[in-house]
Amino acid sequence: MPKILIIEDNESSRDMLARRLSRRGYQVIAAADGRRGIVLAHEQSPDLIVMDMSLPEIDGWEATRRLKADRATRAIPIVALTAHAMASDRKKAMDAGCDDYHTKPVDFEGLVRSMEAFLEARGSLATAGIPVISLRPAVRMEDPQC
Amino acid sequence: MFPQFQRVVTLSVMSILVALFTWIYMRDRQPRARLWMIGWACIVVHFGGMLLFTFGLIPSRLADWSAYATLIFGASAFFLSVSRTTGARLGRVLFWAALVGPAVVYWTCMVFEVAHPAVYRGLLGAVLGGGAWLAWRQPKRSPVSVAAWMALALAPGIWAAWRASTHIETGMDFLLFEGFAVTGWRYWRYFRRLTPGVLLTSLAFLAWGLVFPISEICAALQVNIPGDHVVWDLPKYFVAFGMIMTLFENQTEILQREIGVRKRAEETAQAANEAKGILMASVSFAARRILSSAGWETVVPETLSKIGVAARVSRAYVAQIHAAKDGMASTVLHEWTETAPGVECSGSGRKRLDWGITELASLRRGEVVATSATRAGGPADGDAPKSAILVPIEVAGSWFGFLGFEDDRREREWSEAERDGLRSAARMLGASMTRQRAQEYVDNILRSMEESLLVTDTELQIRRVNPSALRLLGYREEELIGRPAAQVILEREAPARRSAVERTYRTKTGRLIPVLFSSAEMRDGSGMLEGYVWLAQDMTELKRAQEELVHAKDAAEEANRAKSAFLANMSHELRTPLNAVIGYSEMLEEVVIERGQEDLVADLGKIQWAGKHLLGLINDVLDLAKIEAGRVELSIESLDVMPVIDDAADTVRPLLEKNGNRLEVGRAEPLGALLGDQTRVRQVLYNLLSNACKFTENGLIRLEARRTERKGAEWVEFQVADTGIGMSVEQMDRLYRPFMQADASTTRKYGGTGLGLMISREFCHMMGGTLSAESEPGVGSVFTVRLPASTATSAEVPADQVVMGERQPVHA
Repeated sequence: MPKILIIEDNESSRDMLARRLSRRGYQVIAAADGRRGIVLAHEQSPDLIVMDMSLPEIDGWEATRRLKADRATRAIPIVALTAHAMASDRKKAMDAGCDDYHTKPVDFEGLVRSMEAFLEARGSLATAGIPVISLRPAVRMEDPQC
Repeated sequence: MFPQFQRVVTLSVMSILVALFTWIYMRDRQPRARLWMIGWACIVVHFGGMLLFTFGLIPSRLADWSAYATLIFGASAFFLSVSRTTGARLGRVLFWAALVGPAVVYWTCMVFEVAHPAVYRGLLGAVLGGGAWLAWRQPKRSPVSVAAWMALALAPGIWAAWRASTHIETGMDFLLFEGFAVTGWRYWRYFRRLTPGVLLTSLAFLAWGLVFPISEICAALQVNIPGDHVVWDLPKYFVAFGMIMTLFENQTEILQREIGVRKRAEETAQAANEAKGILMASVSFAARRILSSAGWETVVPETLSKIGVAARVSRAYVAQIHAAKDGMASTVLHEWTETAPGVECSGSGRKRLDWGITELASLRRGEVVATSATRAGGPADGDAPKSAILVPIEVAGSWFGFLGFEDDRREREWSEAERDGLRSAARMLGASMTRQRAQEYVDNILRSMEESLLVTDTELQIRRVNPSALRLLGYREEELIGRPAAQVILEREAPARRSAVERTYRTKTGRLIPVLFSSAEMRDGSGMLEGYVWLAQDMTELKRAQEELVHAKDAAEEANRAKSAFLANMSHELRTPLNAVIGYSEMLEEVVIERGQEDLVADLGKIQWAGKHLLGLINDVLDLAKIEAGRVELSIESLDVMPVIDDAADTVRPLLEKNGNRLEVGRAEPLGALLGDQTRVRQVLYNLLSNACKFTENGLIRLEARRTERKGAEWVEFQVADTGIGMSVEQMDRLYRPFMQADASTTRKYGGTGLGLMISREFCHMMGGTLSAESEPGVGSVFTVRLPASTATSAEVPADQVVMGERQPVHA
C-alpha cells in the first residue's frame, strides 16, 4: 500500500486525516512538526507527503523547500493541506515546492483524487524500475502523542 | 582879365567837385551825393554861362537867364538834400510848385523886362507862402518855434516884396540868398553834429546867403568892400569843401554807427547767451541732482530755487493737476519764492492755483503757456504776477501737472532759450517722477512677494533682497548687500537656470531651511548677463506636512496590513477547527453506515451542513472585507463566453438535482468573448444559479447568454431566470444588503449567507458591468449580468492586465 506521511501539528486534524486515509487503505505515518517530518521522510521514504504549513520547529514551506532540495526526497510528491486559504497562499505553497494545494476544511474526496493522481504517476515510475517505494506492513504513528 | 581868370579857376574847381561827387555817388549811391552832384553841376553851368558871356559867346539875356536859373536849381538841389519836409510827396510838389516855379517865372519875367511890379510881388508872395507852408509843416516843431521861424523868414521876404516895385532884380536875389541861408540852417539841423565838415558847410551856406544882403546894405551905406569877387565866390568853395568833409565824416559815422550797432547786438546776444547759459547750467545741475537721488521730491526745492534764480523770476512751483467740481484744478506741491526762499510749501499748506480752464487745456495738450499782466487770476494771494510761464509735466505718458514761473517785477517776453530750459526742466522732472513710480511699482511687487528673492551680480554677490528674504534669513538688508551669496545658500549654486529644485538656505543664526529654489539669468536689453535672480520658498512647513502625510500613509498601510493579517489569521483559526468538525462528521458518517446505525446519519449530515455553512460565511466575509478594503485583485482577460456557460452549468448540476429542478441553457450565437476575471465571472454565475436552485422546487431554471449593444458599447448579457418563490418589491429593496435575504425566515428555510448577491454585484461593477434583478412573488425571479464584450479573441489580450478594485460602498 502506498505510504503517506502526514506532517500536521494539530492533533485533531492529524488524527482525523490519518484515520480516514487508513480507512481508505493507505499506510500512514505522521509527524507533528517540520523537523520530525523531514527526518521521517528520509527514514521512511513515503510515497507522498501531506504537509501542513503552519508547523513548529520548521514550518511547512521551509520543510518543503528542504525536502525538494534533497536528492533523496526530491521525488516524493508533497500535497499542501493548510488553513491558509487566501488567494496568495496557494502561490506561496506552490513556490515553496508543493505539488498540489488543498485548503482546510478539507474536501476529503478531492484530496484523495489528487493523491491518487500523484501515486499513479509514481507507480508508473516504480514499474519502470525506479526504487522509490519501500513497503511497510502497518500504520506507524511516529508521533509520541499518538 | 582878372574876373575871367577868377571864373576859369572857379569853374575848374567846381568841375573837379562835380567829378568828385559823381565818383562818390557812383561808389555809394547816396541820394544826398546825387543831389549835391546835380547842385554842383548847376553851379558849373552857372559859371560856364557867365564865362561864355564874358567872352561874348552867348547873348546877354540867355546868359542872365541861365545864371539865375542854374542858381535856383542848384539851391533847390542843396535844399532838398537836407530838407525833411520835402521828403514827403506833398512837400515835394509844393516845393516845386510854390517855390521853384514862381522863382523861374519871376526871373524869366525879369529877363524879358516885364514891367508890372504886381507880377513880381505876386510871384514873391507865392514863394513866401510856399516857404511859410513848408516851415509850418516842419515836423516835430512846437508852434512857438515855427512862428518865430516864420517871422524871421517872412519879414525880409515881405520887405523884399515891398521893394520889388522899385528894385525888381534884387527881390529874387534876396530870396535866393535867403534860400541859401535857410539851407545852411537846415544843413546844421540835418546832420546835427559838431564836426568841421558840417560846421564849415552850415556856416559857408549862411555866409553865401548873407553875402547878398550884406553887400546890398554896404551899397546902401556906400561902404566899399575890398575883393568884391572873392567875397562873392569864397562861400561857394567853403560849401564845397564842407560837403566833401561832411561826406567823409558821414562815412566814418556810418562806420562807427555800424560798429556800435554790431557791438550792441553782440552785447545783447552775449547777455542772452549768459542768461541762457546760467539757466541751462541750473537745469543741468537740477538734472544731476534729480537723477542721482532716489526720490524726486527731496531735490525739488533745491531745483526750483536754482532754476528760479537763474530764470530771474519771483516764484517757481510744481503744481499737480486734479479733478475738481468744475473740471480741472491745480494745486501747488512745491514752491519757491524769491522773498522767502527757505519756505517750503507742502502738506496741508498746499494752495490751490486759480489758473483758468484755457491755460489748463493748453497745458493738457502739452503746450507751454506764457502770459502777461493782462491775465486775470494767478495765485490766490492777491497780487497777480506781471508775467508767468507754465510748462506741462508729463508722468508715465499722462499729464501730471506743470512747472510754473512767475515774475512780479516786469512784463517780459520769455525767450526761446528760457522756454527750452524750462521745458527740459519739466521734462526731466516728469522723467524722474516716472522713474520713481516705476521704481515704486517694482518695489511694491518685491515687497508683496511671499517668496524670498535674491538678486546677485555675475560674481554671485548679493545686490538686492526683498523683505521676505530678510524675514526668512534673519538679516538686515545692509548685512546682505554686497556679500557673497554663498553666505546664505548651502549648496554651491552654479550659474545655471534651475526651476523648483530643493536647496538649503542658512539663516543668520545658522539654522538650515529647506527651500524650493528657482534660479534664472538676468540679462539687460542687449542680452548681456547682469546677474542671477533667485527665488526661494520656505519648505519647512511643506516638508513637515509631507512627513506627516508619509507617516499617515505608513500608519494607514500598517493598519491595512494589520487588518489583512487579522483577516488571514481569522480565516486560518476558523478553518482549523472546522476542518476537524467536517472531517470527523464525514468519517463518522462512513462509520455509522458501516455499522448499520443509519439513524445517526441525518444528524451527522446536519453537523456537516452547519460546518459547510460556516465555511461559506467565512469565504463570503473574507471576500467582502477584501472588496471593502479595495484589495480585490482582478485579472481581466478576454474570455470566450461558451466555456464560461458550460462550466457554470456543470458546476450547478448537483444543486439542481437536490430540488428537482431542470436547467435550460440558451445561447444566442455568436457570443464571442467578454472582458472579465475568469474566477469572479464563474463565482457570480454560480451564485445566481445556486440561488435559483435554492428558491425553486421542481421548477425550471434558464441560463441564457446573448450579445447586446447599449450606449454605443457591446456587452455580453447573462440571464438566470427561475420559476421559484420570487420576491416582493420590499424584498427586492433589501436584496443587496449584507446578511439580508428576502426575509429572515428564508435563511432558516433555505440557508445561505445573504452576502452572495452583494458580492456578485460588486464584482460585476468592478469588471465594468452591472447586475440587475426583476421578480414577482410566486412567479419567479430574473437576474441579469451584463459584462463588457471583448472585441478581440482571448489570445490577443494579455492575460496579466490587473485591475485594482476601487473602494466601493458595500451597501446598495
